[in-house]
Amino acid sequence: MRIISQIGEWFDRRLQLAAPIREAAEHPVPRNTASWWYVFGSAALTVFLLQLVTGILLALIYVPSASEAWSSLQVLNHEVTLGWFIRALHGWGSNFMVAIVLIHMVQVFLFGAYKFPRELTWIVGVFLLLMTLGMAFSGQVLRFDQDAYWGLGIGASIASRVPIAGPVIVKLMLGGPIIAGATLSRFFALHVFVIPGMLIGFVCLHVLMVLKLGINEWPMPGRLVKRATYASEYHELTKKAGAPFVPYAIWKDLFFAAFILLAVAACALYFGPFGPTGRPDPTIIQTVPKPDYFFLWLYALLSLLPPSMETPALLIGPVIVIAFLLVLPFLSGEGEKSWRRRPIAVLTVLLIAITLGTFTHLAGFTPWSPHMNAWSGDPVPERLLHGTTALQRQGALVFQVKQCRNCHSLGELGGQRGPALDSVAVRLTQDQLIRQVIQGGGNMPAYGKNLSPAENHGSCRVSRDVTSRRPGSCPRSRTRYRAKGERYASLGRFHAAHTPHAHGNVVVF
Amino acid sequence: MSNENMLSRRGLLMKIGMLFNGLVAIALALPIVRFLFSSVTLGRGNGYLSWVPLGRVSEFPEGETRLATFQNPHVMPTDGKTADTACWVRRIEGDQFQVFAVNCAHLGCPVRWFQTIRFVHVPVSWWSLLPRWLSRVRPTGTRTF
Repeated sequence: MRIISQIGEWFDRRLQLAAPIREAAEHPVPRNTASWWYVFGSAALTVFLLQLVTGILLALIYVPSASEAWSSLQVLNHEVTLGWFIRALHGWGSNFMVAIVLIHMVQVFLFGAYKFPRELTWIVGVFLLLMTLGMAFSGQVLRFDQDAYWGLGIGASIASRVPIAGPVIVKLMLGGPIIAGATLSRFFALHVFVIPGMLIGFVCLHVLMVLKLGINEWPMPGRLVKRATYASEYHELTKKAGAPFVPYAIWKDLFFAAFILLAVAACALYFGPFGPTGRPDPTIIQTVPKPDYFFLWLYALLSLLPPSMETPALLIGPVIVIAFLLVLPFLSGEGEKSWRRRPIAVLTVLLIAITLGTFTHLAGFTPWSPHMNAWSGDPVPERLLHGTTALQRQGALVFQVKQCRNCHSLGELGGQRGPALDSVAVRLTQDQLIRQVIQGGGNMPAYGKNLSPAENHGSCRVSRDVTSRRPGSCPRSRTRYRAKGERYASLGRFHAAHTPHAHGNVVVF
Repeated sequence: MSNENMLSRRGLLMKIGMLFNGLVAIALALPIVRFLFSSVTLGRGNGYLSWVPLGRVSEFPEGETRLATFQNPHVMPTDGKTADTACWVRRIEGDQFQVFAVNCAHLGCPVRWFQTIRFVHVPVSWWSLLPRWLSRVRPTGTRTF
């Protein structure tokens, strides 16, 4: 022990770091901040360190070349001992980091920690969030599989919408006119050198300000922040009811950090690494690219936005959101901190969380996308074919071959872009079926030129006969339509009002 | 004039040193910035806008749309398979062709042509089906020959 102590003294005489480290560790914090609500910042830092370590390990094997990157990931997954685990740790660490940074931000917002005198701490935190998202996106590009290739294409497509400067921005982003070797090298430099370097600098600044300004006190309803008196009030609080950060408050940070690391490792072990999916070959177009989970909400939003809203939402929306986050401490730098007295803040967080959650959920199964392989992969349910005539079976074949199945489901299998056709004959007469197929309508294209009269007539007839045989369903006949025109009219209104594309039923069968 | 306002020899040397550093920084910054922006002009003079063969005419039956692949005229040795790209070629009749970009003009996702139904399927947008895809892609992505 004496030798260790002497070595320590030798270093400290030259580095002079022991005193400032001790001062930082033992700085007084308000006792009620030793809470589980205050552990997310240190957890984000812990995961960032994990990302640094695993990132360096991956860089030992990874080859940042368009012709080799995909293969080097295969080597990591299958050849290198525990290479898959390090990749999985890095991938899941990325997901956890984004999630924890977001939770930390919400906690800081709800606890009013962005108010005076911590405005700059908040602003630096906003940049840290943007850099974390930048790391997540550039990391997905380095996977350099089909998702990465086409995802990057989507990113370039968004960038190209910038007026005047769009083409220049795209070429700067891609390192040339196309997504190729220079693009990967560029994103490798961003992911490994530029953004992590900035992240380390900003994290140091962030932590320094937390130490200098003190941890935000537990917000008490009615305790208002005033610029003139806050510093003395906080000093008084830590003097009277304060405790040294180490060891009074740090144990919860340590426990939570260990728990998060364990959770990342558990996910890595159980779920394994992310991809890579297919080779990044632009001539293979049988792919539906999807971003990682933290950008799924954006993917869904872009899919659902009407065309006129796309460019404003893509270019102006993010600028407004980021600008709002940056000026927030100046708009509301004083006053109430407690969320109990800030209902609008709580509702804003809830609204954003529900919106993002809903979009993320929708992006999971993309009901707006045709299922490109449904026509050949999802067979017509046997119960619909049992006891049918040769003509009806021929109709079923037409239904599959003409790829109606890509947009319409039967037996809950197939696309969801159009309505399910299990009971279409209950809703439409044969004439209506034929008209819909020939002329299209709603969001459905016209198939008139692509079906022979025999195919159309026969298949629609089959559709009416077969799908009306479901228990409890009743075929809509021409006679019935004429006899109960009034009821039909009301049903028509019901469909138009409650199913957005009810008038776009594909009924070839 | 007081001594405080006088410039000492060392003060003057410091300012000259700063000026010298500034000049060197500018001199170094110029090639650095030029290097950074080289990707903007990359390929302009390297046959990037040259014609590329997509295949024999007989490979494209009249009235049909086929996927054609080709290598970009401007490639780097490290590009691997990303040097290749694809496009949809429709032979209208005789020697009249239309060439469509393989990407949707919405977000750039790949679109698929299904010959049996003669439709394009667009993977992402709720709003886009064939007519709109064609109308959007035509101004920038389509060439008629």
